[in-house]
Amino acid sequence: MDDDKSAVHGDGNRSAAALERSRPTAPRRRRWIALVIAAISIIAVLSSAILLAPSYDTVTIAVILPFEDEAFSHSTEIESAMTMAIDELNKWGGIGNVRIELTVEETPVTPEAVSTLFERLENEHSPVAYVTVSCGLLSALSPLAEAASVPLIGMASATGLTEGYEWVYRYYTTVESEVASTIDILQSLEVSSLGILYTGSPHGCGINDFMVEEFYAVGGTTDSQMCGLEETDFTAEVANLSHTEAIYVVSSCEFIVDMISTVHASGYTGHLLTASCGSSPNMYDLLDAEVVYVSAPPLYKLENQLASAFIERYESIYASPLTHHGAVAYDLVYLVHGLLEGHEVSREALGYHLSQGFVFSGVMGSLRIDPGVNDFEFPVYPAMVSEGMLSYL
Amino acid sequence: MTHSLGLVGRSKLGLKLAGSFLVLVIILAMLAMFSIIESQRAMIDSVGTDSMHTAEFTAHALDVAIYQKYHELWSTGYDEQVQYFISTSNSEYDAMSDPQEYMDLIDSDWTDTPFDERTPFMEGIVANNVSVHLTETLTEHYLEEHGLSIYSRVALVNKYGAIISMTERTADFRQDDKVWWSQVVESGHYFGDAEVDPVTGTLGIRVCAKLIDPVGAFSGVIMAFLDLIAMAENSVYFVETYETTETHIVSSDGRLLFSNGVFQILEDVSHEDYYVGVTESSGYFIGYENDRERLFAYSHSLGYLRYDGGDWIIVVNHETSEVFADVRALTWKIVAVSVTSIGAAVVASGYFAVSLSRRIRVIAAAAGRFSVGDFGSSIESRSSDEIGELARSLNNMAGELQLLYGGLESKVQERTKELEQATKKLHLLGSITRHDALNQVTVILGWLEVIGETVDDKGTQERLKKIKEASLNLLKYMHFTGIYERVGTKRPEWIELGNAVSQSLFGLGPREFELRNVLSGVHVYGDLMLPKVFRNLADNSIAHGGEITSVSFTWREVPDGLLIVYEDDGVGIPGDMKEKIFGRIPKTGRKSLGLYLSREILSITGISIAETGEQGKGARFEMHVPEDHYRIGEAAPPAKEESETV
Repeated sequence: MDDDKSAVHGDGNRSAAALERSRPTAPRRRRWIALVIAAISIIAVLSSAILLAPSYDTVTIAVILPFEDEAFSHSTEIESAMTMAIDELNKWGGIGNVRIELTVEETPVTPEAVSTLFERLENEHSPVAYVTVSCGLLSALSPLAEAASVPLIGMASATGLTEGYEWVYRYYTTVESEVASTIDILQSLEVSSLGILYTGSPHGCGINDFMVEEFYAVGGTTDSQMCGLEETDFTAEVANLSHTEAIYVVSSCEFIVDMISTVHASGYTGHLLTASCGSSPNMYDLLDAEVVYVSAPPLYKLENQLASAFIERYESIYASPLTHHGAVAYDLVYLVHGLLEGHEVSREALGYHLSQGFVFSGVMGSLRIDPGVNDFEFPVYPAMVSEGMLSYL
Repeated sequence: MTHSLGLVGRSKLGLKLAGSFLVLVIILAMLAMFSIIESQRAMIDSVGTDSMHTAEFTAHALDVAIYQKYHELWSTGYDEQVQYFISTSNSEYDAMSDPQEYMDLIDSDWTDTPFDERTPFMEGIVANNVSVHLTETLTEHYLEEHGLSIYSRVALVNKYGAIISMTERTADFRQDDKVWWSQVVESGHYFGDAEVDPVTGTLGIRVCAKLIDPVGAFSGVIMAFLDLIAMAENSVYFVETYETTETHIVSSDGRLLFSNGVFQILEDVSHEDYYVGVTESSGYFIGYENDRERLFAYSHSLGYLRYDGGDWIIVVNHETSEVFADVRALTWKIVAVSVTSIGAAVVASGYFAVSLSRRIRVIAAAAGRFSVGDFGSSIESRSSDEIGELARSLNNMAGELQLLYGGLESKVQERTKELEQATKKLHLLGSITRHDALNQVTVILGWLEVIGETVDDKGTQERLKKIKEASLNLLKYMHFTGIYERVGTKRPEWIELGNAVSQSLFGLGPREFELRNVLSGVHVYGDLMLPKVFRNLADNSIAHGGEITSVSFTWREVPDGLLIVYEDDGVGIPGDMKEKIFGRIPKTGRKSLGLYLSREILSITGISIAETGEQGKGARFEMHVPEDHYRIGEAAPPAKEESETV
């Protein structure tokens, strides 16, 4: 028998059965289905941005700083300025779609500690470049960087630190510039006898030695008083310089204030001068004297639009004053970026381009570096701090 | 979900609705994307034009700065101190017997000295009052006041071409053999192209101003090497339109003269997009630098006053990712909104389509029931939209039709009743008349019998025999009419054939044949006289089949219905008689109207009958029942009354 034939009822109502089979699902089930479809659509759209987002390689710049108690108080500023530069560059792809990362470490300035830290950074990050501050750290790191063939750039004033090294660079002012600017001030003040109050650090000793030589060359006389690195009472040394027409205070930023205060408190009536440290904005209100003559980089010139805009931008983000220490660190990041942009992003390529000479315009001014030159210098100019303000002479 | 999609798929209206929604949303999305693209294009034009103006301004600023430095140099050349010094030098050289020989001698010694060394003669020139004045007034002034070494070096040359003052040593002593010397003497000024100073290594521009004495005679030249990079740094428009804004100065032969990033002096950039794309005096275009797309705007140096302009191009550029950041963010938002809208539109339209289709199908089903007269089920409607109105209208129509049909049915019933009464009367009249007639025929037959017994004449006997035969025929016909009269007088019913066969063959007489009946459970919709058909077939087999040993009633289904088959194993029916046996006026020699009557009975419900047997092998009658006039097994349940909500 063939069961396919539709049953014929007494009233012939075969179509109702077909309709019964095609009756749609319950409304509640349909609503759930619609909600699931809508949710899947939204999730697909939102996740597509994540899924389609490009992935990036990264390159690291390592910064090695002395511990805070090692008389260097610009660590935070340097890290902030470099972070600001890196954020600005990474916002638009970094170095050719390679993101820049910053790693900051602090260490005692001893060969063993420095070596251990360097080895760890090499193993963990293999940085494209190292940045450091102070003559002591630069000296300790130089042989390590040279052996590892990785660029090391130090923010230190002593020029001889890069001699004999291919991979070691220095970007800061120089003893010669500091002394030249100071002598300009002394000559304009018609000073013939100069007292030099300095700490026994390489920086202090270097400036003292050069100042003695140069001031003598222009017909002046000097009397130097060296203070110990841990010394805090400078009364005796100041008393020994009371006979001079001007006292030139040379030390790290932390001790300059105390030294100048001691000189002022002693009743000294001659001129007070100090090195570029004294030109930092955070020093203006601390310098306890009517007038202090300083050697200042062009960063603080009001007509320097680029620098002024940079300082304003930094201070709006970090709510703290910017000094030339932070500005140099900021420029170093842009220098690395500029040298590697469009080229292979590696320490070897960076070392190569550093050695070929370049021109770089940063917030600290223009750098014109000839091939083979490892010392980058920013100029300083005679200026004075008075009533909490800096003005160029 | 599959069921729902299947519903949509089966719903043409649903597909149309979903498609319409989708097309609309896609059109809107395309319109939005078109707007974005056009906005981006307009932004390119706007930013490009603005950047081009910036490049033009920067080029002009640099040209103006160069000219201003020339003018300052010229002005310095007319300082009293300088004028006196140069006049004195000219007088000294005028007094020489052979100033050219003197100059050659000095020049030879000068050029033999390496650039990084100075002879005492050179030192004397550098240290003279005018040199110090030039140093303080020009080179050191800009360096100390602005931190820019605008004047790389400055030199004063007397009318003979001899260096008499200088801030830095020059490459040689004699200057009157230079190309620029003849030009400045002739035209009064000279502006060189960018070149590297062999002495200082500075990339600069040589500018020279002709000096004349109070009587108007040529007295000498004041010359300077302007630091182009310092000039550019001082002139580049530092209002950063964008964070990624960069400025390049490129020589006409594709050498990089300046960039506000990091660069190498005179680096070959002739392959870069920002050089290749320069085709006009100024303009803008999209290109790539370091694999990043940038908007480049450029302008040539056009000069200022006496300065005809440098042989370079100012290029201002920004990353397009920054320029179009907002536009691209908007694009992504539109894409996201579009995709979400499309998804929502699909869901909404599908839901709507399914809902609408279901409602329409319910109404269509109800219309189908109404069409076959089933007005018992109504369409429940709770919505106030057009579908709801349609449902209510159909309900009203059904109600009206039901009333109409009810009226008609009552009339039909009334007429049927009247017809039945009339039929009943006719039947009664016929029955009475037939009864009376039969009685009379019986009387006739009786008297014929009596007369036959009293008459010996063979001729009369024959005549009486014929009268008897005629009377018997009349009797038969009257019996037939009585049967035929009952055909179709009552409504057909469902008849179980198994029982019908058994009942119809009851009282058939002595049967010496086997009966096979497999019609049990087969129900056929037919006239109540249907069993008579089976009886008639059996009677015919007995009467005309000869010696039969078996008859059978079987069935089988065929594509268009059911076949009921009656067969016997008698002599069969000749081929030319197969249709004649069903005739009303028998021409077969057989005097029975049974098959005619059988055909009439079967035809009441559309059942046909035909003889399909083979002569000599038995008679075979096939009755074809239409498709919807039979049931096998249990009877189908009656249809329920349905009420659908729309």
